[in-house]
Parts: sequence; structure tokens; C-alpha cells
Amino acid sequence: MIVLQDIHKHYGRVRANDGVSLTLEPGRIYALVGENGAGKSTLMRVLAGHTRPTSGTIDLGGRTVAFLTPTLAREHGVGMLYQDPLDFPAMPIWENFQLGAPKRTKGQVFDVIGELSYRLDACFLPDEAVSSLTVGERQLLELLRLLDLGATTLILDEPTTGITPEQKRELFDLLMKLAREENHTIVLVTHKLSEALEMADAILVMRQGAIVATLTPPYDEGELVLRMFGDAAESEGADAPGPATPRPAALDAPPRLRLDNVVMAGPKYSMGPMRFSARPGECIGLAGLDGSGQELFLRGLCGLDRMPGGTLTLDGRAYTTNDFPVLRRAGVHFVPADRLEMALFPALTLREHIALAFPGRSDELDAFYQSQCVERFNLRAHPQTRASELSGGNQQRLLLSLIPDHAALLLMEHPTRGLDAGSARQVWSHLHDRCRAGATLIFFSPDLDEVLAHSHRVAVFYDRAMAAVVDRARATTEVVGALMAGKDPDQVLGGGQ
Amino acid sequence: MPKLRSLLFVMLSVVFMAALLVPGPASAKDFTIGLILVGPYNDKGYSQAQYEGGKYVEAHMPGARMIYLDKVNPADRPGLTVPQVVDDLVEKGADLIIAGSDDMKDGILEAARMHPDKTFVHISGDATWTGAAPANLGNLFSRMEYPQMMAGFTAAMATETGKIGYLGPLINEETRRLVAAAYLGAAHAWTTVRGRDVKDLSFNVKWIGFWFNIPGVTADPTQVAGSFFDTGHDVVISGIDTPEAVAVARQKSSQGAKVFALPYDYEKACEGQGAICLGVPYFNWGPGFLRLATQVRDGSYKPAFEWDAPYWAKINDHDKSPVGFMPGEGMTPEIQAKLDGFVAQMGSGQLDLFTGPLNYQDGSVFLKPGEKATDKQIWYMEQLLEGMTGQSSAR
Amino acid sequence: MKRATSRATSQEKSRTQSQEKTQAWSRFPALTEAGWLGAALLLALGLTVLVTLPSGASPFETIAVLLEGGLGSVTKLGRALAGWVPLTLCAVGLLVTFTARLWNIGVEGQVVMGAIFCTAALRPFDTGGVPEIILAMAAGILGGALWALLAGLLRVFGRVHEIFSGLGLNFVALGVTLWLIFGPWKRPGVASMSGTEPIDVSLWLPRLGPMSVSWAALALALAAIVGVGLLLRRSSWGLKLRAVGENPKAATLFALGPRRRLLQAFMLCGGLAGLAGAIQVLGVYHRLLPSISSSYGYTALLVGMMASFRLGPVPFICFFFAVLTVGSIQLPLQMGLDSSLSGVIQGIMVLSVFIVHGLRLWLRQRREAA
Repeated sequence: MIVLQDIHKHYGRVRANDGVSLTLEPGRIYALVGENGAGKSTLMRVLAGHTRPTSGTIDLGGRTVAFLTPTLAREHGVGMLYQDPLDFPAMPIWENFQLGAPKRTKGQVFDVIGELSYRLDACFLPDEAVSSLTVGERQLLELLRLLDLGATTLILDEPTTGITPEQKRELFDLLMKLAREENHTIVLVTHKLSEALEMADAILVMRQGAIVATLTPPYDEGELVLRMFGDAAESEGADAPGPATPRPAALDAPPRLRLDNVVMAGPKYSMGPMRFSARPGECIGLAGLDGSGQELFLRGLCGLDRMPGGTLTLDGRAYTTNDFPVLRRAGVHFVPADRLEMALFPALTLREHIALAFPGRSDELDAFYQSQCVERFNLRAHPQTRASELSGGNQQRLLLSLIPDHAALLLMEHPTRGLDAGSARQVWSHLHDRCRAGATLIFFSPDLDEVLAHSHRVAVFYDRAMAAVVDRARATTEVVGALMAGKDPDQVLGGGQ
Repeated sequence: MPKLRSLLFVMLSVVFMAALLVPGPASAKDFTIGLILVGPYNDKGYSQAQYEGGKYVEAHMPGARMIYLDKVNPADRPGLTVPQVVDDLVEKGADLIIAGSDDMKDGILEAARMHPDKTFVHISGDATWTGAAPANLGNLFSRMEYPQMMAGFTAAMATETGKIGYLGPLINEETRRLVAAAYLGAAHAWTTVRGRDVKDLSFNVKWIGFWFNIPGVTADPTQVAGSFFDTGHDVVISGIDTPEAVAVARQKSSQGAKVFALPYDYEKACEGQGAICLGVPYFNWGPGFLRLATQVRDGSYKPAFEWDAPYWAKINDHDKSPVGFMPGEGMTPEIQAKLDGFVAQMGSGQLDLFTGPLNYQDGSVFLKPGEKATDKQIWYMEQLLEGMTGQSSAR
Repeated sequence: MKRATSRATSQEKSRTQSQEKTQAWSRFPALTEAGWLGAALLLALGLTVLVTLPSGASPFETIAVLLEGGLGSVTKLGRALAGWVPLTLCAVGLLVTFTARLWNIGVEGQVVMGAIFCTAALRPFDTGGVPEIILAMAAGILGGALWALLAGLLRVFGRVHEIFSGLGLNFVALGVTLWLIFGPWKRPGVASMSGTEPIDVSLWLPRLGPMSVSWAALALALAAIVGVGLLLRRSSWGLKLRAVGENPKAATLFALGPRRRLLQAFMLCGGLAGLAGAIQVLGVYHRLLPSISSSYGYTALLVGMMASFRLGPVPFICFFFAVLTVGSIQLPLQMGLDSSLSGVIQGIMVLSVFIVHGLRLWLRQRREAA
């Protein structure tokens, strides 16, 4: 039995874990769910000994420690299976298997692999190279290795990414067997709610660094979604459009954006064909669990990811290829969530950013900086300040001020990421102004409340496809949450859509 | 701070002293040789031989002094040209300037024209023959062909497989000449001494592309030597500056193979290498330099093309012979005896291996039957000889 | 919530304050720089003493001979300047690529290619004048730029890192030189390491008085310093290049054409390196040699690192290197010392600069952490 007591892990001002207490009992399967950044990974890393908590204690079979090392964790039977298996593809299976294990002859290793394979219904040829295995098989091999090393508590980080449904089935059967027959503890870290609902004896919901709920069967799916995404009932924004929300152009107005049979292809997957349209002045929020396709949708729209098929029509002009500079000139502007990594030049000054974004204004840069950044966006920093020295709020203000006024289509990833409430309000009021002036905004936020509060329509993504588009009137936490969890849209929306 | 000040003081005083010293004429009795070396003065090879030649003059000629600059090549001394070196040597009082390498030929001509009152000697050049040389420049070289013939002779006496490998540097007239000489010595030993058919002798030349290994640019001499031994060659003659052939032979020998190697250029190259080392051809510049220095000081030097023959009576005599062949541990008394006979025949003029009929590699005639090669024919050989395998010229 | 806002504001305030403090502290940047440089020199001197002691030579005399050998007379200064020109051209070119965060190690091969193209352009002419010289220089620039473009294309489209492609292309360039010298361009009679047939005196770069450096080459090097300085610091092209180097992803978002700009940076550096190669042919060696580049490319990389890739110190460091190289020949000539000692001293100086620089960074980090 492993007991975590009041675990805190702070990175500077960020509280990745904020007082987590947790008991893991043998023979049970736990699912740890929560949005990106909720603190799941940190917690698991603490458990596996890779991260030292700021405070709190860990109790392992009667021994209490302040932190674990990987060796200590292994000695107490904690084994972690990472999303990308930690193996050496060029080496044969048996050598991989032998890594970190006590000294054994090749024959002994073969025997162990054979025995474990038999016990767990797996099939491995020890001489084969790991590179010839599928991701699922590599995962299984890693699992065998952990068991061989004496793991009794198995932590699996998103184990079903990149494996087939059959492999998933087999994996889950195996996990079930390990828990029921061999009394192992299984912790499944996931954001696929269906998996949690299917497998877990208990679902631990994390939000903002804390475990906000521990659910036990029978599960109420609505409650689970509610716990994950916050208490929507308390939020006013979801019920009715706030007074500040701009009004989109009439339904019969020419659309700003139309997608006809558009296929988008990212580095990992492709999506489509899709049909979609947006009007001037409209705010469209994208909802979906991590990796469901909304990221690709935004990147494809601006031309950062490829569009191998279909037609994109912007203000009446049709494009069959989505060339980034061409679309940018046509008024499509993309603002990524990762500002310093993706959107700003850390060592360049604010003045230089302005010069880069507005090449025509080079003769009166300082005056332009004053009017654009300081007066309009309240960006209180000297023009010679470097971007890396700005706070998150000021970075976002700078980014917004760099978008020209004539931008017709704004594509934003998590517009308020890392901002305090005041800055967030300011950002939204600016975005509303833009929409009122006729711009179309398509944005994504992992905070469902934010999506619901600021959208005229919500496009829900599930399993790398646009599952449904919901009007504001029907877009409640329950409806959108159910769609995000993979419920049939016809069922949820009553076949109306 | 005191450190800095004293540095400044030393700097200033040195500059001042140099300014005082430079215009002062050298003492009349003194004689200064300026030596321009292409490689490091201690390279255990080509440049060290010249450096030791200069030391020899210092030891044997009263009042003689050597100044030298080594590593004069664009890779080691960026931007430094031969005329600049000569300027410096003249400034330091050099009376006779000796340039040691083939690749200095343009620079030394230019410098000689700029300093008509000094005497210049270019080693391994041919400017006095081609008429390019000004009146104050001569050429000097040693007849390395003969030690090479001895190397070839020794190799052919030692080989059991009848396959000899020659590890060549880059292809030019000098190297072509030397490898042909080695072949002639080998063919002589094979046919006349051992009484075998010349067709059964394989003499294989592989050029690595430069005087030493430059990774990525030249062929790797270690690998070339190894492939010689792996393909049935049991003797490798090296024509390059570095001792890879000997090292590989030692390694193969330690694995039980009966193989031999002959290094090049450094008299002591066989020392400590054991029985795999048959002997080494080397330059001995002392006597030649001393003769030049004496003549130049006396005013009797007439710039010419001088190609010094070995001192046949005792080829390893440091005071007389411009070239030598130092036997290694692998030299058996039997081979030594035959070699001594061979040397005696050449020394007496009884035997001249550059005698026709000799054909070039492509079958064209180099020397008609009975024709003896002139110096120029030998110097300017166009191809390898018939009976040798390997490239005659760079692609 | 209110607390969070006020915390953020106060942080920002303290940030501006600390910035002001740093500005006040470094009010005399030139003096500080000179102080650190002095420290580096003292360290170098100390290490030199240690190294020269076993050889029995007086360290002060050794250094004095080295400096005197490079600066002692007008002709020696001329030689130092003749080495300074190509080194500076390469180093200045490397600043361009480094601004785009590219490690253009292929600069060495670009010098070689410049020399090859320059020689090729001169082959039809037995004699000539200014037009032929200008043509040959243009050809050298073209050769270097194209060779750099190759590394650039491999980087931008082939995703081959420029360090690897650069090293490979350096070898290829050297191989091409050797092939030309021993093959198609070999001199009548015999191919040799002395290179191709020398070019006619009418095609040599004009000398500057008694000095072996050409005024034209000097002028070009100075122009390159000023030009690259203006380009990188004052032009919008330079700003965009800096942005591309700083964050290629953001550069895509700003539609700065990062790929095109990387290629341009490569070509500009290659062009300057090619010009250096052309000057080696036209002004120094008057022919194509196997080691025509004299390793100036690699030395220039070292110069760039010593200067932390700022333009200001580059000409001075280059000059320092050139003086040491020219002065080093005096060690065997005057003192009978192994001339590799000058390489050791050169290495010590470089090391000292790096040590002092590292010390400085460490001190700064500690101060900031405190």
C-alpha cells in the first residue's frame, strides 16, 4: 500500500501539485484523469522517484520518506510505463529485457521471457530486434520487463496513444488480470474518459494541482465531466451571452470562412474531410480533450500544417492550398499558446518586434509604439525591454498589439494561458472589440468555462474529428462535455443537428 | 602592473636592439647558411635530414652558422611565402640560402631575382636545366635512385611470394623515378640473382595521394599497407614520409605472417623495429652542403645542376656519401652479401640498370636495346616501366 | 485575485529597477571591457611563463620576439595585414551566419571554392588588368556563395546540420583542389604541391608601398566590416535575420521567410569567404595551392567565439592572430626555439580569454542569482 500525504510541488509560482493526498491499495485499478496541466504527470513523477516534492510525505509499506529516488521506487515495486516506451530499438528483445536487471545468462533471460509470456498470454521471440515490434508490443515488453524487475505498482502514462483498439483490449485484459489475480496496483493516467469509466475501480480527478474528487462506481459521467472542467452551473457565462459579447453578422451575410471537404494533415495524423463556415464578427470556441484535433484545425487553417484536400474560402476567395504567407496577407493571424517558444523573439526588444510586424512603420517606430502598445494595449514597458523580460500578460498584450487592425480571421490557442484574471478580462475585451469591428475569432481553450463564455458557437472535437458544432443556446457543460467524451452527437443533441 | 611595465620595457628594448643590430654587417669571417625546410626540423624524415646537413656544416666549417625556418608550407604557416622567408634569412645575415623542397620552386626563383648578391640552391628543382634560373641559383639533388634500387633488390631477395608492394606518395617525376628505380633493383635481383622469370615478379604501386596521411583526403596508408599484405604481398617498400608500412608489417608479423617492410627517408627508421625491417634508403646532406658552403665562401661556386652520386666504396659513410641505405635487422647475411656484390657492380660501372631495352608501362619504348639513359631521361621519366602495375599519372 | 495582479505588477517593477541598476553599473562599458581584457592578458602571461620555463627561454623575450616579429617593421606589419585581410573577411562573414544561429563550419571550404573559382576565371587570360582582377574576385565571391548555398540547401531542405555538411564539403573542396592541381590544371611538365602555374604579374593585386598587403584587399576587408556592421545592426534585413536566428518558429508566424533568409545568410558568408579565397590567389600566393585557405576559416570560427560573435572585437582579435602567426617564424630564426611554441602561446591566449570570459559569466550569474 502506498500513501501520499499532502504532496506539494512548486515550480516557482506555479503549483503543479498543491496538497495531494492519496492512498493506493493493492489489487485495485485507479484512473487518474484531468486536463493538461492539472498536475497528473508531476504526481506520477513524484511517485516514480523522478521528481522531489517540495513538501509532503510518502508512505511505502510502513516506511515514511520525504521523497523517492528511482532506485528506491523500484525497490518498493513502483514501475512506470511511459507514453513513449523507454527502449533501445536497435537491440534485440532479450537485451532490452535484461536492462537494469540482475546479472543473468542469455539462456536464463530467454527462460524468464518465455515464462512471463506464457503467464500473460504474450508472444515474444527474444532474438528479434525491438525495432520490428509495434508500439503496442513494445509497451507490453516494457510491462513484462517491469514485472520481471518486481514491480507491484504499475503506473501507465497514456498507454493507449498510438496502439490499435485490439491491442488496447489486450492490454486492458492483461491489466485486469494483474490486478485481480496477482494483486498488483494499477494506476492509469489518461484523459480519455471512456477508458477510465471502463476500467477503474476508482477515478481520481485532478484539477489545478489537487485531487478534486475520487469517484467510485457506479459512475455518473456528467459528474465526472463536471469535476474535470469545473462547476459550470456556477458560471454565469454559460447560460446567456454576457453583455460584452459582440453580435455576429446576420446569417445571410457572406461568410468570412468556408471549408468544403477540407482535409488537414499534421505531423502525427490527418483529419477530414470537413465542412465548416464562420461569419464576420463571430466567435467560435473549439472544445476537445487534448489531441482530439482542435490543434490541427487551427494550425491547418493558418497554413502551418498542410491541407492536402478541399477548398478554403476566405472572404469570397477560394484557396486550394494553404500557404502561410498568402493567408497571412489575406488577414489570417495565428496566435499560439506557447508565446515565448512559438510567437516571440526572446532576445529582441519590443521596438524590434514592432519593426518586424509593421515593416511600413519603420520611420516613426517610437511614436507608433507609444500609440499602439502603450495607449491601446496598456503595455507598460520600455520599448528597449526584451520580450523574455515581460510577464505573461504583457507578452500577450504585445502579441495582440502586433496583429494589424485589418486582420479578418484570428486563430488563437488558449488566449488567456498563464494570465491572471485581470489580464484575461482585458484580453477578452480586446478580442470582443475586434469581433465587433468585424473580425472572426476561432479560439481554443482547455478551460471549458472560457469556451462556453465567449463563443457564439462551439465546435467539439473528438477522436481527431470535428464531432459537432453546437449553438450557444444549447452549449452547456453537460452537452459539450458529453460530446468531448465521445457520446454520439445525435443522441446528445437529439438528432437536431 | 609591474609585470605589465616590465613586459613593456622588454618589448621596447628588444625592438630597439633589433633596430640597432639589423643594419650592422655580419662579421667578415662568418658564413651563414639559411635553410628553408618544408616540414618540421625534427620530423625523422626528409626535413630532419636537411637540418642535420646544416648542423654538419656548422660542425665542419669554422665560422659557419646555420639559421633555418621549418614548416614552410601554406598549411603550417598561413600566408608566409618563400620570398618572405628569404627576406628574413637575408636580414639575419644568410649568405647561402638552401630551399629544401620541390614546392618552393616558384618562390625561390622570385627570391633569387630579388637578392642577386646572395647565392641560392634549390634542392630537388630543375630550374638550371630548364633555363628558368637566374645566375645566382643552382640545383642540388642526390641520386636517391641507387638506394631505391638497393631497396628493391633487397625486397626481391626477401620475398617468397614474388609479390612486392610499393606504398607511394603522390605522383610526380621524382616519385615516378624512385619507384621505377626500386622496380629495376627488384627485377635485377629476381631474374639475375635468383634466376626466376620476370613474369613471376609482381611489383605493385599504390599511391596514397600525399606524403603522409590526411584523413579523408588521401588513402589511408595503414589500410593500403594492410591490403598489400592481405593480398599475398610479403614485402612492402614505403615511399611516404611516415612509418605506417613498418607498423603494419610488425602487426602482421606478430600474427605469425612472414612479412617485411622498408621505410624511407630516415636513417634510423629500422632501429628497434625487429626482423621485419629490411633496410632504409635515406638522404645524407652533410657532405653536399659542406661543399656548397665552402665553394660559395671561396667564391668558386658556379650555379649548376648537381646530382650527386653515392660514394660507392662505402655508401653509409657520413662524410662522403650523399645518400645511404641502412640495413635493418631483417637483412640476412646472405642477402647482405648479394647486396654488397650488387653495389660493387653498380659502383664499378659494370652494371647500369637504366640500360635498354626498357619499355614504359604502355609498351612504348623508353630505352632502345643497349641504350643507356641520360640524366635528363631519368629525371623526366614519363611513365612507370613495363612490368610494374599501378598508375603512371594522376587521373 | 487582486493579490495576484498586484504581485505581477510589483514583479515587473522590480524587473525594470534591476535593469536600471545594470545600466548604471555598466556605464563605462569600454573601461570594463578593457579591464577584463587586461585580466585575460595577465592570465595568458602567467601561463606563458609556466610553459616556456622548461624550454629555458625567457617568456618575456619570447613574447617580445613574437610581437616584434609581427610588428617590428613596415614589411612585417604588411605581412600581418596580409594575413589579417582573409581572416577578417571570414570572421565577419561568420558573424552573419551566427546571427542566424548557424554554425557555418564550411567556411573553410568556401574559402577554397572562392580560390578555385577565381583561378578558373583567370585561366583564359595570360595577362590582364583591373577588369580581369575584378572578374576574378567576382568569380571567387560566386564560388564561395554557391558552396555555402549547398550547405544551406542541405540544412533547410535536407535537414542536414550545417556542421556535418560543412565538414564534408570542406573535404570535398580540398579534394577538388588536389584533383585540379594534379589533374586538369597541372603545370606543364610536372604536377607538384607547389600548385598551378603562377598567374602573370599584371593580374596581381597592387601592393601597398613596401608592404606585401594589397591596398585593395585592405579596403575590401574594411568595407566588409563596415558593411556587415550596418547590415546586421542598422538594416531591416539584419533585424529579420536576427529574428530568424532567435526563434525560427516565430519567424514563420511573422512571415519573415526564414528559409530564404537562412540561405541568404549562408550565401553572404560564403561570398565573403570566397572573396578571401580570391585574395589569397590574387594577392598572396598568385596561384592555386593545395592549402590555399591556410585554415583561415577554422581560425575565423575561433575568432568569432572569442569575440562572442560581436563585431567590435573581431578586427582586433584577427589582427592579434595575424601578428602572432607572422611573428612566430622569428622563434626558430632568432632564438632557435621550436616554432610550435608560438602555437602554444597562441593557444594559451585563446584559452585565457575563454577562462576570463567564463569567469565573468559565472560572476554575473551569481550576482543575478543573489
